[in-house]
Amino acid sequence: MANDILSLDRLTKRFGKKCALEDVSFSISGGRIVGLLGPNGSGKTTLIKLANGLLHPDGGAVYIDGQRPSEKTKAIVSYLPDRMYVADWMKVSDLVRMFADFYQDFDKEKAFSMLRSLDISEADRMKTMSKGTKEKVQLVLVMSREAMLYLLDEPIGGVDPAARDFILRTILTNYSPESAVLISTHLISDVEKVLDEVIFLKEGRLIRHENVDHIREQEGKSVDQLFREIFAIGTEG
Amino acid sequence: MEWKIDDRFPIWSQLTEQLEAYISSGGFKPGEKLPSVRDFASEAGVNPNTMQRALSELEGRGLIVTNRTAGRTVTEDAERIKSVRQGILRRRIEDFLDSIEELGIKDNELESLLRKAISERSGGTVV
Amino acid sequence: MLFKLIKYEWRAMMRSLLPVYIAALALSVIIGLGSELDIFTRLSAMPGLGFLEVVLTLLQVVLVIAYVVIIVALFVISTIVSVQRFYKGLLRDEGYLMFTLPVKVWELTLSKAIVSFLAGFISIIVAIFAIGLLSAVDLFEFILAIFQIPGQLIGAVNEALLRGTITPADLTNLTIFAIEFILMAIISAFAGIYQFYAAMALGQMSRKHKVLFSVLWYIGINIIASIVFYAALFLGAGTVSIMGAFATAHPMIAVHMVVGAMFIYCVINLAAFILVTNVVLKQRLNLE
Repeated sequence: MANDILSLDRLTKRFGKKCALEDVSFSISGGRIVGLLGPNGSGKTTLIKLANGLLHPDGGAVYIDGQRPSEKTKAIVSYLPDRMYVADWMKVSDLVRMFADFYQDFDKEKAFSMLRSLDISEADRMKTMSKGTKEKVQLVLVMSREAMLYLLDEPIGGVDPAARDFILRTILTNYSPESAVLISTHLISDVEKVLDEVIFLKEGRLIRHENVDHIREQEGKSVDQLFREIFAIGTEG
Repeated sequence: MEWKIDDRFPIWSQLTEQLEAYISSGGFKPGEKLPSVRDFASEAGVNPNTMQRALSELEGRGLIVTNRTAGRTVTEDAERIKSVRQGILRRRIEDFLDSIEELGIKDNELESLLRKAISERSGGTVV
Repeated sequence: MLFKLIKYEWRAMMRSLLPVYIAALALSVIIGLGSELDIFTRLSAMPGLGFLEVVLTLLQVVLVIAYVVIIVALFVISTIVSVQRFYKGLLRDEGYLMFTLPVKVWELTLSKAIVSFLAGFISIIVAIFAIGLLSAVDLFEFILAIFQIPGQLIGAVNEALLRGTITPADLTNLTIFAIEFILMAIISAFAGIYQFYAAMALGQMSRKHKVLFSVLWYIGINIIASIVFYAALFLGAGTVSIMGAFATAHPMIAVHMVVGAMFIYCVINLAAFILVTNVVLKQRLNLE
């Protein structure tokens, strides 16, 4: 479909004998905020890396706005990885300038105002910051772009509840009917309200792809509860 | 306004109910302009499409009108708001009556208990 | 985009190398100053201090060794930093950013190669200056002398032309050789850089022990390159001798043929390494 921003066609990736992703197909269209849900090791990060061209599939393909990952798709994808990916000797202001240099859709003003609201000084070096602050800087960089597709790998994983709130609010205020957001996470209760759709991954396979309210209507339970049942996780934790 | 989303029901229907109660109790005045879907959604911390669905539902119920120039506003039809309010009250009373039905309460007993409860409330009891 | 990449790569590279350059120059100044003031001889000449002579001579030797170590270290470190910039900057965590920038793979690798080349060039200049500082001649005199070299060369050539020791034809040949050698030096420098890159690109395809595999690939590439070199040498020499061209040719033309063949070999080498690096990183990037 022409309207699909991200489309996976029978995507398969193996690491040695282990199948990290097997025959995964789905599409995400514009204006959608989608949760990519699954426990650790279910293939979420692999899927996102494949969409970014950081890994290459062993079968199937990824299409972003109808194209295979390339420098053209990279201009329209904003990616938050599951790790620190900026040089730690750089200052926050260096990073903002660098992103503005390379990404045409980067909004410097937006970045600086987000940094201010998070009390992060642009003169600080990454090296001197706590892990949580570094993650916030990366998130600001990623969310200051007017991208077509946001691929956020565990954005709320290691941060405090206030930052979690900030992140989700940023995603919501950044909403545009032309762009799509894919958020991978295993902390579902926090993001559930923000999502349109959820995709459940289990051991590299797609086992469910549905609208959040559909699940609530049909099952009479939240996505979080359903997730815990499917993956047999206790309620505490 | 305060938003409460629980686990059991679809989010859009919870938003619809809460908005309906808020508007019919005068939280928004008749004819008042409503925030945009995006602002509403980020205020409630919910997905914009879900909020959109709730607002369309309220439009269907005649509480909200979409105006090409002014955007979404609360209806100016005071009667409509009143009847929606009546509807909510009736539904909640029905629910309440259902919930105490099994106790086998008599009508006059219920009436006197209600009066007592109301007077205790207005008599300065901490709410 | 290439220029922007070079700009950021340059900053990152100089962060690591500038301290090394400064250290090399500073140590040269210290050693140079020591011998300038002739401290060692004077000390040993002082009455009653003669017994120190042995120790001081030893110290002098140690300092000279230290100097040699600095110069060697300068080149070793700039090579290591170049390799590390590629490995850490593209194939580890920072690669997640670099490979999601809207730039082409060849731009990423070329920007790093150009900056590595420049760093190597600066290392040579720093080494020359370090020698100047060490030999304790006046630094300005030394710089002046370096700048006088081209003028002196032209002067010498003019004189030789006047005297008739060389002909204008010889001069043309010499100029061509000079240009060929400079180009060849640049091309082999880039080939050397891209050989590291190609080895690391191939090494990162492995699931585990990426560094080990990169080293193995580097050795493998070396072996293949030498096989190709000797094969080309024998084939080339064979063909030429069969044709009889080499034997009958004017000595100058024969030399041109040899230099030309070496030139072509370097270009092919470079092209192969660039191709391997860029194709592998484009088609088989594996940031696990």
